[in-house]
Amino acid sequence: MKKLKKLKSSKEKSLSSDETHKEIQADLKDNIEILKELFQDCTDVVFRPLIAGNVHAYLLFVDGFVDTKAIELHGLKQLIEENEVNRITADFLTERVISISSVSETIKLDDVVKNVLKANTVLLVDGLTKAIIFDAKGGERRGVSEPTTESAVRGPREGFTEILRVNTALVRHKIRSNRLKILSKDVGEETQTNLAILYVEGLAPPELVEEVLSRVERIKIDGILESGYIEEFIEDSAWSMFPQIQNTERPDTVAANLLEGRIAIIVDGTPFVLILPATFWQFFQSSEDYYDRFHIFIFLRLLRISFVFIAITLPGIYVAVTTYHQEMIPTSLLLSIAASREAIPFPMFVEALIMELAFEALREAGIRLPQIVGQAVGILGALVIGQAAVEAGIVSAPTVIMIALTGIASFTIPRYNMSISVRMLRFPLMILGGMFGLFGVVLGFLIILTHLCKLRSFGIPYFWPIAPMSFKALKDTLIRVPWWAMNERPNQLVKEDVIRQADHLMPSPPKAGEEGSPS
Amino acid sequence: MKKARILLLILFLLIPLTGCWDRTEINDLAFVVGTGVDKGPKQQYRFSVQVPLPSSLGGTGSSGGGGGTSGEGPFLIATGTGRNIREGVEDIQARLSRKLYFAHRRVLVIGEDQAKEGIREILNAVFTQPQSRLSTFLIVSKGEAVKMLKAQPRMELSSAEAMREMAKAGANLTVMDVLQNLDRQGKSLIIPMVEPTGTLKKERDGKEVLMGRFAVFKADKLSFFTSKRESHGILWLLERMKKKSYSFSVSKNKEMTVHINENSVHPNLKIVNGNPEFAVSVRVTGHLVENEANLRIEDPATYNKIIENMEEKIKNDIHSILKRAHTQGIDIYGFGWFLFKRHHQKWEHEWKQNWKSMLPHLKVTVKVDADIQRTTNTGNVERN
Repeated sequence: MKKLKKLKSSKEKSLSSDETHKEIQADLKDNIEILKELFQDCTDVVFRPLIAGNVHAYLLFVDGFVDTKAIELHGLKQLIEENEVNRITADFLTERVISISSVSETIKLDDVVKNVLKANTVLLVDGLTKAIIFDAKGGERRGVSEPTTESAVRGPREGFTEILRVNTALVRHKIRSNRLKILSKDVGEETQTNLAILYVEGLAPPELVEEVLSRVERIKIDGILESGYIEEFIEDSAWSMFPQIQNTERPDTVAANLLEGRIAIIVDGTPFVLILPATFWQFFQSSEDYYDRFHIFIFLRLLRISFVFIAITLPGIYVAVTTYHQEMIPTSLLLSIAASREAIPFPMFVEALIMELAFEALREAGIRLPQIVGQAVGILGALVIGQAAVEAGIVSAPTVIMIALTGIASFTIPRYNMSISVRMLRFPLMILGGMFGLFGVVLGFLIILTHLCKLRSFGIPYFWPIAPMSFKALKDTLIRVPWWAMNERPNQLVKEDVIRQADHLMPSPPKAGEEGSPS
Repeated sequence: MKKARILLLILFLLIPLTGCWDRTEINDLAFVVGTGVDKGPKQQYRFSVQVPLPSSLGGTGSSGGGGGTSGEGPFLIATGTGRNIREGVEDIQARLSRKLYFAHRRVLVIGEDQAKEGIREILNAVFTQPQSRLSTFLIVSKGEAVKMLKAQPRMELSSAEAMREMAKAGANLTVMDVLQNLDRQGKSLIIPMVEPTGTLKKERDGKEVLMGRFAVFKADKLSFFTSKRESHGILWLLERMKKKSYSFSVSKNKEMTVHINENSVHPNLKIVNGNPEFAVSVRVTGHLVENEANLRIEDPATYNKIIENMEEKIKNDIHSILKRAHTQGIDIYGFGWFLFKRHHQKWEHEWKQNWKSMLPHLKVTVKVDADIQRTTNTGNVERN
């Protein structure tokens, strides 16, 4: 509460003071005075005085935000060379002088401040009670490049960038339809971060769009720096370990999801776009699943699902079986485990825990370090933990194999946020396995399963279409049927306009007597 | 909040059920892979176990393998005596630092002397304890059982493993089958028999194990060991000759060997004057693996002659075991069990009581239908 009050008081100081609510005065000096006070110590804000004809004027912009070449060419130069004194009106300036495509006007001072901070350029002219705002955005930003977190062998190579408008354009490139709607919202008192909410009209349920808007409007915060902020504010179960909103760097993934009636939220300043509602199975699909031969992706999707099971339960099962249910291990395997464990001083649970923690630490070290050092960490880990620890008799070889398998299993999940929650869950299961044996593992797994079945993402059951079961949607869940068999959109979201494509699109040679058949 | 409390309660309820205090580390257990039961002095049992020693199995980090050269294999043999099996186990346990764990027992070997006394009590005692598996193989040894456990076949880690593999490839009768047959009317027990052997003369007394013959039981007591020929008869009747080689003579000192691919037995019942008569039809196919006499098997006349020899020999094998068993009142194939199933009323009222006395006079005809297929892949193309 205290913090909130503080936030409010500081807000009052900056924006809602009486001065900024004022309208623009005819006297340029007054305006500039107020503005200069507001932008005090903001060395990047440029106040460029100029005289157009014999009228004083000021150009305001943030250095580095704008394309200075464009301002010079289409604003500054034109204004300075303007000699017809009498005709300096706002309309004249926008229509005849400033040759920039996006121009608007305002009469409020706080609009001036906002627009300057939004990388627009503002022209204040003495004697005018209006400010002219024109868009000459520029400056150095990262260009469109290949998404690094979701690489694919086949598929588009472009990924989202940090610039909102570029991102919306990337999606618009995929869906060139007037039904693709892009709503805009500003969130964050200080950051004024622009959000774009994308949906396809007629596919996304209108009540879902409204729900998303209302959840986004709830957010009162000083700053939004990444889409993760939004995600945590609008998800359904805040305490759940499982991500209920998908994020992606790929425009094609966003486009595909929009066409299935989902909603995307693009946040300015991050390439990670939110897709909602999300189901559990969505996190085991990659965009490439739909691009290459479907046979292999039927296999790969089943493989991913089974490896998720391994990633969650294998350490638990291993610890449980070796400490409580030795009769379940095949005799020769048991003897070799016994042989390799002969010199190990720790109980099985402790041994597995040490290795799991070492593995997680190694992974974390590898991610955060610069790439060149990261390689060194990899070698160190492989040598020290993989080999030396076994030879020194601190851990046994079967345990190392088990940990490695679990690690690989967690890497098969295509979505990073699902992968980390799965990785976390194996610790409680391992503890349960160490305490109660297989009984504990099964119980823990059931709790996880119950939780998954209970979760909802924006009204959609998280485990859909397995629970509740929807046979129609199963064709694109654990397997992926060929495109010519996917005639309908998933029926949980899209209620009308479910037909995606024409019937009987499966290629086949023309039947005898049909047009085009060889005679 | 309420839900969380209920969940917490459920979790706490778990604790009294089981817990880490029941934990047993792998290196606190002695995995028994084979056990033997012998007749001890004064109506006692001599119980022996075979336990592999993990430290000499050569896992990484341990002191390394070896140990085989000093005469003792990488396993431990311990024997204990007691008035019952459990006492024998406790006798051994008192001398071991690790807890005996029977869930991985591969074979249970019963010594010849003990088998003659009866095996029902042993089986009951051994297999009522929860760690026991019914998929364990039951074996009767010629001589003492502990001798078989002490054998060190070079192929496998331990003799128990070797005996298990051999029993599996042979008659494949597990303890479960034996226990079932033990309680079946009109069917007697057949259990594979092992004997010590060796390649060198000084090793003859127990370096390797040999399993090829059978122990035939009357009720739960050992009656006799079969001869080699009778063993073949048993394998034919059990339909277990598949994937085995079978030799028969075709002319003087010349044999032909066939690899059996198919072996099926169908008993047909005929009741003549109220007495059952059986016609057993045996179907055998195989492919030629050795043709010592170098006969032209493609020739129909030769082929028929060869087949005749083969059928005759199979028939003799079967007859020899049937005759020996039936004269002793042992129903080795389970004709009685067949009657129990097919003519239950008559079995209950007429035949059951004096089945043993009826057996020696039971008329059994054996009809063998053999074929040799794939005759050309002998590798020998030279023809006369």
